[in-house]
Amino acid sequence: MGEPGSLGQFEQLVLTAIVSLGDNAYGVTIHARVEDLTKPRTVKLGAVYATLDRLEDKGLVASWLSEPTAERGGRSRRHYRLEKPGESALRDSVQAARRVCDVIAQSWGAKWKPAR
Amino acid sequence: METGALRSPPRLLERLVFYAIPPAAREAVAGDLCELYRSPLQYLLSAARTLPFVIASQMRRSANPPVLVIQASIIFLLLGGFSGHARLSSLAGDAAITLLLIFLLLLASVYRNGAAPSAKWVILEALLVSAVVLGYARGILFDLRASHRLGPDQAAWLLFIWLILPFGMPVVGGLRAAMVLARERWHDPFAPSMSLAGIAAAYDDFAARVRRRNRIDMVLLLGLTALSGLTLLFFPLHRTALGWTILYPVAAVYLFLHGAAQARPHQVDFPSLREICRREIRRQYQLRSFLLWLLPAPLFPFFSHAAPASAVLAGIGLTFLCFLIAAADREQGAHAGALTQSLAQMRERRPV
Repeated sequence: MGEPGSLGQFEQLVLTAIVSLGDNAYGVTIHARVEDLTKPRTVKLGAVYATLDRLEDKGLVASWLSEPTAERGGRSRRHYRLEKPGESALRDSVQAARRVCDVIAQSWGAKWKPAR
Repeated sequence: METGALRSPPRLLERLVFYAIPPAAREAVAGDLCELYRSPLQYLLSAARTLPFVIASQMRRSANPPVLVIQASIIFLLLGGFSGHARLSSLAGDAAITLLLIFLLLLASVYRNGAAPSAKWVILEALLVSAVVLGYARGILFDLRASHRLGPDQAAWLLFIWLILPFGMPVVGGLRAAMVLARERWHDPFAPSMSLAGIAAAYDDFAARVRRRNRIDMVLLLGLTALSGLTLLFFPLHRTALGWTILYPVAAVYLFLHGAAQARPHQVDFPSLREICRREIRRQYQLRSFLLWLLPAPLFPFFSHAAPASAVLAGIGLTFLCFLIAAADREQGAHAGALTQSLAQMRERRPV
């Protein structure tokens, strides 16, 4: 099992997607939300699965299978939610990103306009 | 997302993709691909782009590096890599074959993923392995005799042992079937729906079993350390004994420090506890798997012989030993796989 230390950029995006989706966080919706967050870059669905597996091994997210549904050919969804270590890892990442923003804003001043 | 997939992929294509996905991720990934379905071509391309990531991720998850190192050493040993007489080019060839076989073993473990084979199937497997060993030994024996590298006495002995081999097949098959029967007697402690208190009790039971098992394994490791130490007393420069005298206590200390199941947090909800159970079952399986390969490891160097006649016998012995270890490992994996599957599908039963 990996250590739930610092997060990679893609891991932050996936965790953010899970947080924002709440109870509806599963493969397809997480992928769609991550693509929204990374626009105009596209993201492969497989990369999202690999990251979710890694986050699960680090103990940052928990997953379970839902009841099978007809629109998915009778297959279950694997739902995800953040665990306590995942929440604190994401919080740390957000604080670090904020500090980076502040330092860049100080250094570059008016010429820096962060993309929205 | 809810309304997108009223159309579904053609049955044959769906089955094809379904079986190409590793079982651990099959249900969710197949469902997601089905939900995103727009046309057969899009479905196939989407599956082709997704599958390599899923397979690689499952390989990473099921890889147990210490076990892989032991397995690679055994394959290298069987290929004659440790004989000390090989040339550099042949060593490189052996190393490449070893790496390829390790990759294939890992891939096979991903697709097996704790699937429990039936008694009929394992007996068939045992017979197949025995037949391959028999055929291989026969080929080597006849080669050695043809090249006059065997004395008449040696040839007679080897032929005698080769003739005994078919009678060993039922023994190997029986041992393998006994492992399956032992597994079938075991019952799953996790029901399809459990209350938080129920899953907590099941986890506490599991943690207690782990503690007992760890104590037995530590005693075994320390006993083997003493045995290796004793060997060192009589043969001070015995490199293998020196290695085990260091490795076994290290493993025992690791087991003492990290072998226990994670303590159950007092304030925990159902999904978190289920996740703790799942992670701990996987970790304990990896630890047991390592010990299963480590404990008989001092026997492996005895199978390394430069003399052609002994090398044939050593190869046969090592193959059967590894077959039985791998079988026991697979049974443990089937046990862990069944438990994690039960946990993933478990629903919380709330008190009325």
